[in-house]
Amino acid sequence: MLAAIDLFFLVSTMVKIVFFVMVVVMTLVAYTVYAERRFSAIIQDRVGPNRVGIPFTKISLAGLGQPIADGLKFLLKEDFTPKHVNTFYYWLAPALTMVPALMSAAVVPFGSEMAIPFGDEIYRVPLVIADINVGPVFVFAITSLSVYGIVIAGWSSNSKYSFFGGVRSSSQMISYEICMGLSIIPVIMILGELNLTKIVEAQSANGWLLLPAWGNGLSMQSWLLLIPVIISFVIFTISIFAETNRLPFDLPECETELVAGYHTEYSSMKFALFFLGEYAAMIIGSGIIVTLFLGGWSLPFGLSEHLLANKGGFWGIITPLIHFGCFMSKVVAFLLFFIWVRWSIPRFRYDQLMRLGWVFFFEIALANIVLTAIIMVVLR
Amino acid sequence: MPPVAFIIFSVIMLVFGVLVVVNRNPVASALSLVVSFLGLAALFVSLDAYFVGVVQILVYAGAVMVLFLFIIMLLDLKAEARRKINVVPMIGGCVLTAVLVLQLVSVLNTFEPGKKSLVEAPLDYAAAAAARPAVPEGKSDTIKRDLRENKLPDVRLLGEQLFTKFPFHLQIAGVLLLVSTVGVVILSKRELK
Amino acid sequence: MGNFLEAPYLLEAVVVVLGLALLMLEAFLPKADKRLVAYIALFGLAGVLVASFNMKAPENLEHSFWSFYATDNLAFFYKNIAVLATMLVIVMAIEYTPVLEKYVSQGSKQGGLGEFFCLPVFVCAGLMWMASAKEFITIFVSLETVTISFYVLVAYMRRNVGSLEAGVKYLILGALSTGFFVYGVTWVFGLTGETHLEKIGIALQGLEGSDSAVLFAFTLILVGLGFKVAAVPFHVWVPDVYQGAPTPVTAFLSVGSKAAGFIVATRILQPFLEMERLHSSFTTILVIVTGATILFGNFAAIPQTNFKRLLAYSSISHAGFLLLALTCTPDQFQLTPGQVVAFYLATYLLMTMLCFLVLTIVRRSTESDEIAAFSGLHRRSPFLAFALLIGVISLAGVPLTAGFLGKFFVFTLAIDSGRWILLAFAVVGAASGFYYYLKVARAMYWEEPTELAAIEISPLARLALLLLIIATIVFGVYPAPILGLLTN
Repeated sequence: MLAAIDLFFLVSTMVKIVFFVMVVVMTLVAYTVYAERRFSAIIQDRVGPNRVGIPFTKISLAGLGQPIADGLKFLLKEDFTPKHVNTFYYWLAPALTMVPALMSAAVVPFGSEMAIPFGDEIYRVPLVIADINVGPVFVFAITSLSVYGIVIAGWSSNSKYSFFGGVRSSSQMISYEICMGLSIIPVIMILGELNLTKIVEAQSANGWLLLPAWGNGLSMQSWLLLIPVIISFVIFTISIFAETNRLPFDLPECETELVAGYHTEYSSMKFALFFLGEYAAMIIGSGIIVTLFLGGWSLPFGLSEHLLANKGGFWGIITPLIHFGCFMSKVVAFLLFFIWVRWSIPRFRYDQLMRLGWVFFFEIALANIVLTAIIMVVLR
Repeated sequence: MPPVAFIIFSVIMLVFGVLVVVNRNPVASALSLVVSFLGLAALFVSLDAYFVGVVQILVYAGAVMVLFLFIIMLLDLKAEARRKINVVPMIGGCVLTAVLVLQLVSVLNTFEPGKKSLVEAPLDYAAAAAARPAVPEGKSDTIKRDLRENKLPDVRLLGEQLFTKFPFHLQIAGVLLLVSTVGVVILSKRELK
Repeated sequence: MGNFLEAPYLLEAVVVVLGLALLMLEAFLPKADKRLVAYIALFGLAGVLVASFNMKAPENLEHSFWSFYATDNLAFFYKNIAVLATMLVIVMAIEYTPVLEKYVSQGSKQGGLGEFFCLPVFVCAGLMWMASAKEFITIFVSLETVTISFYVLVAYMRRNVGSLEAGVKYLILGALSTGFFVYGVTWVFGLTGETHLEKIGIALQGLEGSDSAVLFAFTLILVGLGFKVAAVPFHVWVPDVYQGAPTPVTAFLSVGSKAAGFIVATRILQPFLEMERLHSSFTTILVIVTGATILFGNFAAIPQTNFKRLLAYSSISHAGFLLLALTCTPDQFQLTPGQVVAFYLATYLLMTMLCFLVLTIVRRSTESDEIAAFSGLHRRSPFLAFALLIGVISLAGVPLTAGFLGKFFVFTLAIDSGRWILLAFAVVGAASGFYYYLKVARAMYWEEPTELAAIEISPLARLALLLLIIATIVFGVYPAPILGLLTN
């Protein structure tokens, strides 16, 4: 309803976009890269980047300045466009990978509703950029667009390695989108809701889907439903790995076979955009997993309900901030899990990857829907 | 306000729709079609049909067109871009299109649309909620709840229609999909057993 | 319980389940002879055919399902046509196995043949749904089930360029015509706010103004239907697709698809033609299409040398005669246009299937569809030659065959409602039909064979041919059983 736009809505939305997408996600992207390098170093018994700290001093802060140095390096490098590429699409591709990843951040609720007392009135700001009724479907729709960036990059580079990377990634992403979509249907059936905010609120009151330990969650049905939920969770998480082209599914950029896959011909900031796009997609993917299965911003064991019961005063501001912290810590835990997996498991072969998606996950996800329906009908 | 959005997105749709035909490069054509679909999705969203709009992106822009693009790239249709334009069919096509457009314009001129425009006739959520049939004890009508909250529960309404009014058609569609799956496998499988 | 077993929708359900079972059988018994699938399909469909006479329309029609689903005589009649056509197509497909093996499997014996016997069963279900559809969404989904299966079936011989070309042509033009049809439906919905044909009729009666919009919608729908029934000028796909497709599929297209197109046309045209104000405009459009179809179909058939292509043009010309019946508004004649069309299609089923069955058998032994391949057929197989003779004279409309009665009813209807110009066209068309149909008879009986080896006919095909010959002759003399099904 465009008619309903008012100034407050406009301003608060802009603030939320700037805060969540620009500040939180982008910073997190930078520091995930850093964490990746440090974590991998630990796993491989190396030191990793631990030098860059405050410039012109000897303070190294365990290398926390590294992302800034990386960013500067990307910006200052020569932006080289090879002669043989299809220029327009070559330039378009990096943007097309970055934008969808950030766009899907719009529907992820990152905290409970904020109530800001201002003068006589109390302004209510839901901590989600767009509270729409089709949250998960919207996320799928937007992530399904991110494949264009990779495909176009592969095609416009006019080089066989890039092309193979592009072709591989498009078939991989399409295949796993199906598993991903099917695997969350049980979740939607159980919660009866497609609005992510409401999904989180329901979990906050009645137990997370993976931890139904309070409220209405303490029932026979919820605990039996854990079986399909765990299956969904596993398939969904693995599909997110495939969708974000992370190891063990990073065939599109598999360096042992394809040099660097679809971004072989890219350098400088354009390469960085692919890089950032991948990490942003990873963050949003973690956000969606957390929202759907682990109660989003809510604290475990019904603690959120106690917090939300405190009305008035500064509680309206403090509670959402606590919830925001809760959400972020869950997301960070997941990001570390992503990194841990990347440095522990070897890469799949391409046919194994396709077989896993089409022969196992697809069927299991379908059967899982039926299983959920049976449990729900029998234990109504 | 909606007319502005309507005009912007319709123009996007139409311009890129024309580009699909005009572009000589098949990849560019396919991508123009994607943008055209995005415009269409935006039009759906501006009509409060979020689900249809999003599904439009998910299915057409995100899956169907990716496969199209995939095939176009694999075939590497460079010859298409170099092919000379055949003048006679092109003129014929243009004339036919022009005639169709003229006909549409003339038909639309005599057509009497609904007396009220959408902007003047906002949906009355409260009345709609009150008109919902009663549900049995122990169950809640989520559509009613959403309507009371002044939200249009488009997904729920769609689902309700599909599964209570049109389940028969849904099952026929299931047979249709099965048949097309079998057909695709048969036509494209390398070795048939 | 007895009541439940009489519910008409069970017929389609059984057909779909049969198709699923066959697919499963095919998938889990890959070593078995694929023709087993065909025999089971035949057996199952025969059961459905018998059961269809037991079905009754329910007395209580309150459930919303019955507003989508017609249970009148016409619906049952067309369901029977669909099942019979499918059975004959499967018999034909069994005969066609060697050709399919050559162009589909290549290497592995009978590879990929199982589905060729399964898909017609699903098409049959679609055709049966179409027979009962009286609402646009139902019409659309069942129509698409049929059309999409046909896209696959037409291109089935995937190592044959002709078949693939036919498949692509059919796909592109079919999708285009579906687009027109759906666009027309949206216009109708926009005008009336209804998808149920009965309610559309009522809404159209009460409509004031917007005449050109109604005409526009009608024309768009007519384009879509014209494609399905092969009416000129939407016939361009017919010759190439008929020639390229595997012969059993051609027969199926020619009979099944056309029959379904006509039942849908009968039902859709009715609410429009009942609209007094625009009646004459609708009829004018229909008359123009009909005239063009009759003339083009018959005249273009004359120079053909390929029998399959000849049958394609013959299919167009028969569509013309059928459309002629639909343009009529009878004055005293006791059969309605819908019933005449149904009768004509029943006879058309018999004679066309007869021709195609003979063609399939001859094709297998001569590897050619040309009329020249039929030269001296009576010396190689008198039975086949006689069967084809009956088929073509019935198609031409020689008295004492079923085809004559079909044409006779159409002509009577035309005289009754005063369609004199169309009648003149039809007479000219029927006369030219004698020439090109009997060209085949001349080749069989008066020309020297290039080869003398006898043609083998399997017992099943022999039985089917015999039944078709008997039916063609018997119903040409004594049509009461068919008319009884229609009017009772």
